Amino acid sequence: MVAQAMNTQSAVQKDAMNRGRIVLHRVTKYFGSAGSEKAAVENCSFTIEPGKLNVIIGPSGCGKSTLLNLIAGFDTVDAGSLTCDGVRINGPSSDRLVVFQENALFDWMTTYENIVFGPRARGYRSDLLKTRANRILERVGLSAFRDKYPSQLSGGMQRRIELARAIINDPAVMLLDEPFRGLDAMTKGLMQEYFLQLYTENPRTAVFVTTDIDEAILLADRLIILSNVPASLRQCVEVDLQKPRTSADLYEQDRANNIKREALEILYDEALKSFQSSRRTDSDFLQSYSARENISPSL
Amino acid sequence: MAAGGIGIAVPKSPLAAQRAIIALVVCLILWEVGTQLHRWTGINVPGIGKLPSPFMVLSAWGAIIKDPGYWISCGMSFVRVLGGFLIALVLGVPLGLLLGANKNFRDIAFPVFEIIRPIPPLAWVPAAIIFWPTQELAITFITFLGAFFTIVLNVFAGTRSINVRYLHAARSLGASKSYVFRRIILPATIPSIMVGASVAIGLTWEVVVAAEIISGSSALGSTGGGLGHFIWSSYLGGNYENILVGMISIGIAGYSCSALVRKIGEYVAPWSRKQ
Repeated sequence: MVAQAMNTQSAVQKDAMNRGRIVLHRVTKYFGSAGSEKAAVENCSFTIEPGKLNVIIGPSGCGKSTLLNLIAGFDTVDAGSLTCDGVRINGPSSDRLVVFQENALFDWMTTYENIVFGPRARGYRSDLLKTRANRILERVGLSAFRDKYPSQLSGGMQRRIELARAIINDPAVMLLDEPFRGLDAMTKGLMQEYFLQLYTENPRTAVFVTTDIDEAILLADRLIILSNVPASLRQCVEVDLQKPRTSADLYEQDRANNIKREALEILYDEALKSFQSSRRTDSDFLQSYSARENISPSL
Repeated sequence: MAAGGIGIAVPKSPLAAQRAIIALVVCLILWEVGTQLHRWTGINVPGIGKLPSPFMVLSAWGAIIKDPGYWISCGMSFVRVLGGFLIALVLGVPLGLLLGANKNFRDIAFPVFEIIRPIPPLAWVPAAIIFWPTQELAITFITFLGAFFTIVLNVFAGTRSINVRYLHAARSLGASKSYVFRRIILPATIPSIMVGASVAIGLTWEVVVAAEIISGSSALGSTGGGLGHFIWSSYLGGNYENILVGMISIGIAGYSCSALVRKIGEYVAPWSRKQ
């Protein structure tokens, strides 16, 4: 895979654009022990389009991460079907790589060892791997930190290594579970820019989960809006804004503002529902969304 | 992380070293004053007033380091500590890993382990003397027990506290089960292994001395040797200075061993070193 990626970059990229159509059909997932189980995801149907940046957004605690774990293959569906390119997903695969919510770098490995973990685990040991890893290190601006341990690096650097660790495997699908959560606003902005650049250079099917509507609209080709728990599809919005986008000029466009307003109305509606059933996480959520400028509290 | 977290005993900066030395000197002065107060003022400080003064202990020490018997005692205790500790490490680390990694094995073995664990090593002394053919083996066995349970528990806890995200990430990146064990579970547990080891070697010093005293004064006759025996025979012979010489020797030996284990820990787990 590494060799291919080196030699026939464009062919692989073309291929990557067509791989990774993920179809969820009436997917249901329960949690808890038998008898007192609760649905985290219920009758959820939508399609992840190949070659696009699909952003999933929904109230916090709505089951987004559960959904992503199902797509990654860490968990199995209780009902419904879940396929990737027509094949049922029944376990994790290096074709569907996850970049985690919080840092999951291996503490005992240096930056370089972390990045080459995937190829090495699958048995690649060539000089090509070394060259490719070094190039990716350079690309994410961490060449000088090649032999440092994660604990010696800043939060932003750690997230970049995570991105690099996933990208080097050239996966058909990248699954990103709120990868920039917990970063300060400045770093988060930089990371979004960074991610967009990397993504433009290595376009492929991507599923990006977030609770941040501005992040969602900045990145998305398609916006998949989920309901409150148990998660199901509320609406799918094509984000047909021109690229490249920057957060600065995004909201000077009417289209962007319209999408944002539309999405926020749905999200607010969902958050309100759960607020009325008095769940704590949702009241926090409601607060954070009603504070935004383009939504009126009378909704 | 863990291995570095308890590495406070060896002073790292000049200021810390200064403070350590000052604390030691203050202790010595308090000890000196405590033992001399009776002569100066007639007040007898309870406990400490009956001790020989640090100066007397030091001169007794100066005399005894020329005696090969003292060094043989030190050596014997050290060999027992090292023997018991290494056997505990060799058996305890795999057992801890197995308990953590295999649910079936855990269900079977853990209850048995938890019943045996609270039995203090010293309660094993009579059984060990009966069980083992020589006194040497019995003492080493007791020392082994002192270290074994601590090591197993720490390694077990270490494997249980591995973040599930690591396992997910590794599996998702295409790692096989054995690769995950070698590159994830094992290194993630090393800091816990080293914490267990440095606590355990301190415990073996506690246990070896007691075992030497008990077995040395048993009906079998006192042929045991070691620092515990040294302290006990000094007591029987009324040589109070040497009791303290023995005690302080053990303190220094235990400190050195723990410090050494921590150093080794920093070497094998460089990522957990304080930055």
